[in-house]
Amino acid sequence: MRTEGLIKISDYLYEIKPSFKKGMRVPARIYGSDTIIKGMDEAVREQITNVCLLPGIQQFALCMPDGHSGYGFPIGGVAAIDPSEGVISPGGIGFDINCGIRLLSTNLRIEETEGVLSKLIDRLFSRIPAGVGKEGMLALSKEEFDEAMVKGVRWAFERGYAEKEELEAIEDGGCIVGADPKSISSRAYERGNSQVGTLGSGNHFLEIQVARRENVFDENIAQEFGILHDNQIMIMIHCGSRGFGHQVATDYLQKFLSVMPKYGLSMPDRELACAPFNSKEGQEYYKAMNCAINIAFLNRQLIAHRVREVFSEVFNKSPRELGIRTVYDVCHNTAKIETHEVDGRERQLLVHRKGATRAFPAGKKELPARYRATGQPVIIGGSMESGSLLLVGLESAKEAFYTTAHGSGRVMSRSQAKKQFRGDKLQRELQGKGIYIRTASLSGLAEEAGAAYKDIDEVGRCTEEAGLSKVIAKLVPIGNIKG
Amino acid sequence: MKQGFEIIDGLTSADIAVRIQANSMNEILENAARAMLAILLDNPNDFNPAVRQNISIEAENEEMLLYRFLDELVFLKDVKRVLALFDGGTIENAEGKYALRGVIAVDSIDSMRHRFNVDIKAVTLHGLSCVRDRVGYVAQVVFDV
Repeated sequence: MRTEGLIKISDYLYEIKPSFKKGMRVPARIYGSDTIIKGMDEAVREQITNVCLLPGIQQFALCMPDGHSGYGFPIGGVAAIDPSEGVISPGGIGFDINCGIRLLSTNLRIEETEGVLSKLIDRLFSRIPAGVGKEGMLALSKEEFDEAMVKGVRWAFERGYAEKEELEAIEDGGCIVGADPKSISSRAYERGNSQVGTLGSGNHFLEIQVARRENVFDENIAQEFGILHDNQIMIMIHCGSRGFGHQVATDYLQKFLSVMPKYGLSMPDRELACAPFNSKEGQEYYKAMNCAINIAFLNRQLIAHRVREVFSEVFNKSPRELGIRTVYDVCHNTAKIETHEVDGRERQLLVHRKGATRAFPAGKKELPARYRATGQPVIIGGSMESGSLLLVGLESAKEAFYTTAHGSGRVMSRSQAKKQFRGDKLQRELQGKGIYIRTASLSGLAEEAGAAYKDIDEVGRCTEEAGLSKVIAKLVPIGNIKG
Repeated sequence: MKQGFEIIDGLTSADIAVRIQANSMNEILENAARAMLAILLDNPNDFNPAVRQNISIEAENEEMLLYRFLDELVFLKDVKRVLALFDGGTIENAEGKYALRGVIAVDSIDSMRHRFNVDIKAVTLHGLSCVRDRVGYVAQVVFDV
């Protein structure tokens, strides 16, 4: 992105004034170093300034350091809307509603995986449905699926697929309030019910990682987050609401486009279709979105449960003996009602985060007791080569509505990556580096090559320098399954 | 344009955009379905339809007809676990509504026969267009993968 027209607020924050585009209600702000900003595609500027046009938007439209072009909002886009007078926009949440990451800790060290790593990965690959056309782990009746939409991980807990202590280690306790199955179309229901507990494909993954001492940057907080010894094995799950969320987004984008004239709304991009939050259509989408948020929580929970089973089989110990515990589960694509201070006053705002992670600091009452002293664990997913980051939320992220990045962001298109890399060669090379990968698609693997993504360390450093979140540890992959 | 479609760069980094050309709207649907198959499968020749079934789509214009047709193929892939190509039909335009009554050739997803590149999870409205040109039609679609 060219830096002309960007006003430097600080070394890691740029602003675009409302005079840039007619109709902008607030400025746009983009977080990142000079390198990161220059590497962003121009469409990010156009998209984030379009977000500034949304009725009810407060303070700024924000773009995180991992931002890149999306649909409507850029990926990494954030907008806090006054729900009493403003709108809700599916483009500010994304198709994969509650795409997110679950992090699990274990008491295993990397030495204990030697000789069994390939067995672990192979067994996970055979037991967790991943890739196109795979059936879900569970076949639910309509009543059961409706109940799951409302209860999320609580549904799993009631049926023995979750531990009680896990519920508090998930955003919103794994069960967001305000889901109503009556807001769901039959198409969304059918797509969702056929994919319960599936991993998906593309950039979704299940990864076995190691926390090495040299990659732990704050030992005290790392310990609070469950990293207790050197070379500790961690497990990361990245997936979302699958076809269910995609269909909810598709259904309501079309519905909103048809009703926008009724509400006198007009946006320059169809993917920014919106409706007043308090309208009939706005509320229906909000309830449907909450259904999808809960189904995504459930999907990650079922996969986590299967991970516990597989580890238990391979090591011949119970999950409790292996110390398999959920550290935290974060959402990347949601709109949530939260309390934030605006102009010195506490206000309820509808915070859209699309490819962005909530990052509450220490002291927030919404956090589980175990994290109130430290702040929320944040997980930023990297590529299968670079590893991922574990961070903590900071008070200094207040003006960003306590939000930080979610991933490393692509710098190369899928077709470009496929031209440059071969999946089979990449798989062998990574195995040579000690990363054992099983994938349902070698050409899909090529598209996920590390070089197709931004430097995760630079993204993490930017979030820290910008005061959005602090890097606690880097988790390096040793095994990975992909759809 | 070979095959009636091509992948286009520059419109999206995370997903896949295609441009489709054809002499008629029927052919746009045919080429768009083949573009989907080419994105999904390592080798589109592995598609071996055993069954033909009817498809009916309605929309307010040709662009949305294309969008809803492709959305239906995504739905069938996930729910019926089939891949599909368009096998002809009629498109009527009456009272501001376009109605497709057609046939699709379907092949059940079989992990022994079909190797997949990526999954198509949604048809987006991003950059969506379907317009007449001097020769026939040209369309652009971005798939969320």
